[in-house]
Amino acid sequence: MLLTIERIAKNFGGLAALSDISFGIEPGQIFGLIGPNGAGKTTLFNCLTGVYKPSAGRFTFEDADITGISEPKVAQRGIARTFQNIRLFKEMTVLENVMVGRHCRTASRLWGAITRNRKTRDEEREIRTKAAELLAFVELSGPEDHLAKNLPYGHQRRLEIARALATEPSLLCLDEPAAGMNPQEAGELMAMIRRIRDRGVTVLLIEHHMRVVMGICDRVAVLDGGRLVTAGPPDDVRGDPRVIEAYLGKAPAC
Amino acid sequence: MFLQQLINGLTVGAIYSLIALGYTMVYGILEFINFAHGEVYMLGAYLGIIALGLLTQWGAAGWALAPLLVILFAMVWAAAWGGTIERVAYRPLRAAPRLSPLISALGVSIVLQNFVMLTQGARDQVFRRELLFSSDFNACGLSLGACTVSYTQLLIIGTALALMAGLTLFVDRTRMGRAMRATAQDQRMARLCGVDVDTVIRTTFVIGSALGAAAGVMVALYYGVVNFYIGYVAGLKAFIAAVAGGIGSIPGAMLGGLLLGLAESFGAGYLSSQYKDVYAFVILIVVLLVRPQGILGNKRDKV
Repeated sequence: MLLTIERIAKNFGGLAALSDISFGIEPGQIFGLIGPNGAGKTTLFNCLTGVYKPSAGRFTFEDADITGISEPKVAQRGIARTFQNIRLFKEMTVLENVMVGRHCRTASRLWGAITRNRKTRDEEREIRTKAAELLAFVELSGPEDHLAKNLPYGHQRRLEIARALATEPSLLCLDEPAAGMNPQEAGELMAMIRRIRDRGVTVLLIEHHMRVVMGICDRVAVLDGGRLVTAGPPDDVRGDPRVIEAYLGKAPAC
Repeated sequence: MFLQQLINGLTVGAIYSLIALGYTMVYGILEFINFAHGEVYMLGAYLGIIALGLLTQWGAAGWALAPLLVILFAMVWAAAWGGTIERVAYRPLRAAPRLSPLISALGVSIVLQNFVMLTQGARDQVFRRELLFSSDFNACGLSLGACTVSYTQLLIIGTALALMAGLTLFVDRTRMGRAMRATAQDQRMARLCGVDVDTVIRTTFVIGSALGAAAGVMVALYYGVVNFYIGYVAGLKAFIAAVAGGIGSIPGAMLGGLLLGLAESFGAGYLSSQYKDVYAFVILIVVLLVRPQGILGNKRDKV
């Protein structure tokens, strides 16, 4: 298992946003996390990536306990994420956004910047090359020097993914990357997610579009009301009456 | 007269700019006004005097590189002060209500003033620039028609420009500089990219303090006298420069400082030198009326 989630719970005051969530993600998978609004999908992401501390339970990532570690350490460990509402560094250029993503894999500080020693210069060159390569990968090579805030919406999404990939994650968590996209854009995005998986990055994907999820995921977990309904291959999950109930409500007893 | 006032204004303005950078950089990241920053500038001036004293004792004051050593000594030492102040007085209050670090800053300011007063004395201290430069250098300069640009002024403007250019390169082109900008824009996202925000904040204080100290040495060099309370007025004016330029904006602080220096100089030359300290506030009020976010400031859209 790349990531094992064991009995994770998160309470906000008296509200149980997550309770007793357990499942595992194998390396090399595209793993879908679905559920109606308010099911706790994003809360689970936030617990995993250090934004929240879980109230109970354990995350084991690459055989290490990473429960409740800070955000920079999460990035260092190899987990990257994007946000449902895009969070780019708006006043920085497209290339710089990706370059910031290299931060956790590089080391030079103030002293290196003042002395401009060889190590710093080599590192800076490496940051720039890697960032440009990732922009090419997400097909954003043209507008490198534009400010991120001036990109069209779909491009901003791709830039966010490029920045996440720049941290060299083994697990990439995407929070509704297809939100607000038209069917064609969403299709291109799914192709890109497959190419990311083919680079050796495991993908954990929150998505609303059932069709998207079923089309690309190797396994799917369904959350509802902060609880895990079921987890398994898409075909099994699709037919599960509990899943249908979570999405559509209970069938009237007649 | 015009040209002379212009040069004088640029000299003082460059010094204000250097101090204003310390305010604006810290504000950009923490949204907090470091009211102790003026005191770090004052420390810088005293550190310059101390460095000069040490060099004189070692018989090295006349050495060509001595001015550089004096300024570097003050910058490094003040940078250490800046980092320590952040660690001791601000970091423990990072999660506290916004007013708390502000009060803490006022406390640091009082402590530093009194510390310097007790250790260096309450009387004016003289920066003996004649030890550093030949009498020719002190007395002469370039003449441009009716006006004279003293070598000291050239040295101050040149050093200040070099420091500002260095800062711009650092912020634009280096890993730490990018991390600083990223942190200023979206702290959580920066952390998720692996940026250690504590390091960024410390670096910001270290750089701001070093620049402030450089300004302190320049003032000591320019006027020849320093006192333990010079940080108050200079800090206030540099703060005004930072706000007028657009607080949080680095080019804004540079521009605001120069503008303030020029206004003071022209005001003193053409209107009245009695009201020298008033011009800064007039500029501030005018800018805030016309453009509340400052000349180069952004309207912050916080999500």
